[in-house]
Amino acid sequence: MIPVLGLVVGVVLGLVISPEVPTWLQPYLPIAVIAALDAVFGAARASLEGIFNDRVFVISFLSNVVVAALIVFLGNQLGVGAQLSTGVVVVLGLRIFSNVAAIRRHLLGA
Amino acid sequence: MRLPRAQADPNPAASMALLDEVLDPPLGPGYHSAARSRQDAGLPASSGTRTWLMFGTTVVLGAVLTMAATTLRAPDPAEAAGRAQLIDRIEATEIRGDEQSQLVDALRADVRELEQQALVAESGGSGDQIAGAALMAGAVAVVGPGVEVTLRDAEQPADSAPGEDVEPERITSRDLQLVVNGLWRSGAEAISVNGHRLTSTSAIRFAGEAIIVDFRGLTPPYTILAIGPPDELAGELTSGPTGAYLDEIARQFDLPSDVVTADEITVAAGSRLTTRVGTVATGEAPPAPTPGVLPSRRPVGEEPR
Repeated sequence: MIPVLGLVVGVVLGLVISPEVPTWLQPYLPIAVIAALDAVFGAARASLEGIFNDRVFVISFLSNVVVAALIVFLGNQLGVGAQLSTGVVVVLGLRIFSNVAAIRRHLLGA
Repeated sequence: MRLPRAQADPNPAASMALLDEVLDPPLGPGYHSAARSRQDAGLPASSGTRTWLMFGTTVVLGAVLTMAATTLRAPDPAEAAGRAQLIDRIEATEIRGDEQSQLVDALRADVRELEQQALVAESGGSGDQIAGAALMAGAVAVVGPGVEVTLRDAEQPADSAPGEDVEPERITSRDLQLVVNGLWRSGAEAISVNGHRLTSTSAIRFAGEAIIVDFRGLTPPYTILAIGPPDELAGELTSGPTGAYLDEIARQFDLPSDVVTADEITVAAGSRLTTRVGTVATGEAPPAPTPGVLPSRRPVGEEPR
């Protein structure tokens, strides 16, 4: 209940404040979203397996976002930003899919 | 020293460990170790989701998602609106331009009629003179035998490697200039390109990717109408230098061209006949041209009145 409430508050905050994201930060936004999604699905799977831990969730969320942004930043500096972004998206996408598969197994038994 | 023989691998798929890891990665080990340490401390394995930390994190999560969504989606409608607005403005201006040019045509016809009336009243001789001058200057439509040349852009790129994105070849202003100059050289008396009569002040230019004749953009195919001795014009366009050039671009760049002779071709009147600086010589000192005011072209013999 609390997480859903928090999500709703966050969405409303984002809509109401709608902050101007600086241009230099914009390439990292999609990557940040995917990294956050990965952390969220990992957390959902852990809570279904009964081993959820809020500290682990926060740390995995933050570290995912930071490391993904770091990789993309490094790629931009080296001139291979697009390729590294693709790499990050592929890896995180695979993790999201396997976590969703585990969640599905728990919820639907299939 | 001999290495001990490797034990038979219990897992026959061990060589595909990387694939396994990619396809079915375990949950982050952090959750398992945290659960174990909590159980060791006598607490339940899960910390539950009802904590302030969770609330704060999910608030941040929601805000980040919303920010990303609004930021990444916002530019599209703005750009589309700007583009639509530009298109509207261009279309409106084009319609206005067409109306103006129709008005110009109507007014020019009036002027010509008035000139004729005045001249007929004054003297019989110079009426023909005016008509002749108008014919030469391109102020009136002309009918006569001639040729019709059609130049088209290529439909497919002339040579492209597979997977390479190559634009098809296009007719350039240089091609049109060459054809038109070839026609003038072989005795053409009046030429129009896509309905735009070429006069002594006309120019065929290239602006970006469009061919501009008298400041009006043209769209392919380009039709050049020329009035003159049809055999000579056709000869120039088939076996003369211009014909050789047309053959060359047809062979090398796949740019097709058609030449048709006709007994009766109508070349429209020119639309831009004003002089900007020159005025009619009257014997007196010419008046200084006033900037912004375009003196209308008057035939010799009209002034002074």
